Amino acid sequence: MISIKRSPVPPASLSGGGYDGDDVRAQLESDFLGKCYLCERKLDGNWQIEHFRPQAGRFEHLRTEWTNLFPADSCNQNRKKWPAGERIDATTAFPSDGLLDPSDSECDVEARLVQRMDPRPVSADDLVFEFSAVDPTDLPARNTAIELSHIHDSDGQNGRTLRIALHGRWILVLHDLLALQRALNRGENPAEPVKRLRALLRATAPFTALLRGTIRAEYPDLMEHIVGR
Amino acid sequence: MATITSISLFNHPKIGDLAIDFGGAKHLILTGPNGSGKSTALLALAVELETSRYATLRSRLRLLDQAIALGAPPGFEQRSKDGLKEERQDTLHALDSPGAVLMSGDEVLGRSASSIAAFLPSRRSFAPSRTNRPPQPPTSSVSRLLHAANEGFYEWLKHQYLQALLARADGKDAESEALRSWLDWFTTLLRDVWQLPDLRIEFDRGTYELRFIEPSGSYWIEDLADGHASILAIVSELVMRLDPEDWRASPGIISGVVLIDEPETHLHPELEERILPFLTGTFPGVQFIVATHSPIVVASIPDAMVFDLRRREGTLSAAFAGKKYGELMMSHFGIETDFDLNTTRKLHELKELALRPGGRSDPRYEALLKELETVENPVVMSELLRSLSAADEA
Ligand SMILES: [Zn+2]
Repeated sequence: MISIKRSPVPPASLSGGGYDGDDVRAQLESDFLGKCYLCERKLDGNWQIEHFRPQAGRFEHLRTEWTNLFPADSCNQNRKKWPAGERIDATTAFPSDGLLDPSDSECDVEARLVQRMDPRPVSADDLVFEFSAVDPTDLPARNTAIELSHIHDSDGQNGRTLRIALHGRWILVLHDLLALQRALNRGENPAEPVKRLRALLRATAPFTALLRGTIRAEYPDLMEHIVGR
Repeated sequence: MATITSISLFNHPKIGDLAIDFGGAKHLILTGPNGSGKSTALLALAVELETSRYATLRSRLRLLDQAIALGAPPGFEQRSKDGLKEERQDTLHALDSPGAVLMSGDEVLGRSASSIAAFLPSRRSFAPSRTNRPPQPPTSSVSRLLHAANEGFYEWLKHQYLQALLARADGKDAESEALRSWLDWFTTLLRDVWQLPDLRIEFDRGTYELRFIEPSGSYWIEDLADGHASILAIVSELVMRLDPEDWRASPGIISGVVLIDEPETHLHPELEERILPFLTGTFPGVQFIVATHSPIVVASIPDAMVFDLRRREGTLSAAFAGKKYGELMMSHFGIETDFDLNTTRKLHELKELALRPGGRSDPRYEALLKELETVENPVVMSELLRSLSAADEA
């Protein structure tokens, strides 16, 4: 998950009582850089508008609230069910301590969350993720970490296709990291691999946070070269 | 010999209807992605083997049919025809009830002293440890299918060693010889499956514990490698369900059915490939029904029906011999990988070395990295990256 800038002006159709007008979809797609806010896959034709705070129940008044609308793909079916409070059997998609809001300008998601994976999975099903709060007392960050783990580790077809896509992307990144390291070892100009890596890691590319987080943790020296000192 | 030749599940709450024909194969391997019901199916079978609910209902139905046809045979004198019909109806209903399991074959449930029925769930709690006390003589053995029987295995094994020593001291040569020969046989078994050709096991008279001795040093029961302990958990479960007399005579005469969920738990690929050949070879009379996540396990024995629970389709395991690992992964596990078994084994080994302290300075690590250099896999690529950046620093 990465932070994005939400357009301050709500799309016009929201004032008409519906929340899924074409202008809403277009604005979400552009604000969120064409990616699912949870798993950072590119949005395909079937993405849905998700109510960050669920539209049923106590957040009903936020049904057409612009800041409550997020673009999500099928991975949102694996959002965690949190205890809803007073009733032990009731659940909600929104925990009482809150979640990180990646479109809140005050909230730097990548600074508050550790997001990375084991750099050496044998196969896509072998991927091990680490999502955790940088500050353990940061409850919304902790909840978001739990939610992201839930989505990335889920057993069904959704989880599997997500892991296969990530695995493939990670191979591309490793390819260029190797090219970069070889260039450095030989004393050559690393401009080409650096350019390709920047393209792979920029905010509009899929899985930015996990890829960046993993490189930062595993190959900090190479990360310095990529971001440019 | 007890042999199951087909299995049907009726209206199971999670699996629905399911019919598996062994197609003449001796063993059954259940595969499929997570959530396809492998463990659930295995548990349903275990419960059925334990309670033989279906068999009981079926024989009751047959009895009722006879009673209705003949009119008041012995045992049914007091019953009215309507009452019998009503019970028949109830029995039929029970047979149709959710989750009924039907197994056909030779008399599956006829158990004799040399017959075994065991169920090993995927979480096997087997953690023997030292007590430094004389071993207690074994209490009566547990024979219930759904409960682990190997809890007292280590104590029992120590007791066997102690008995052998005492018998010899008392001049009971025949008894001592019989115990010794079984213990020798058992040690050979462990040497073979653990691949420790020089392993010896000795009873330590000072501590009353068993010492596992290898040329490189000796260790205690708690120090077994995870993979070795995992195999011992399976073997001991079978040992504890058998009468040692049968074993001494010949393990070949033991028959029965053994269900194992994920036999590959904690095993590295090398052992993963050996576990079923080892078990079927050691207990040639026993039928194994396993559920597995491992393509290596699937391709490891020739005489099995491999049943994919997602597609509800069976294939004889012989068809997998020599097949590419990647194809297997795709067809039976829904995992995308293009590597053959050998490459995958090397990848696992490389990863294991990378994660082990000091493993990167093992000569095998460099050799593997060289062999795999052209393979486009994150294990190789990230290790290559490590070794290149180390070279850069040096
Ligand atoms: Zn998503």
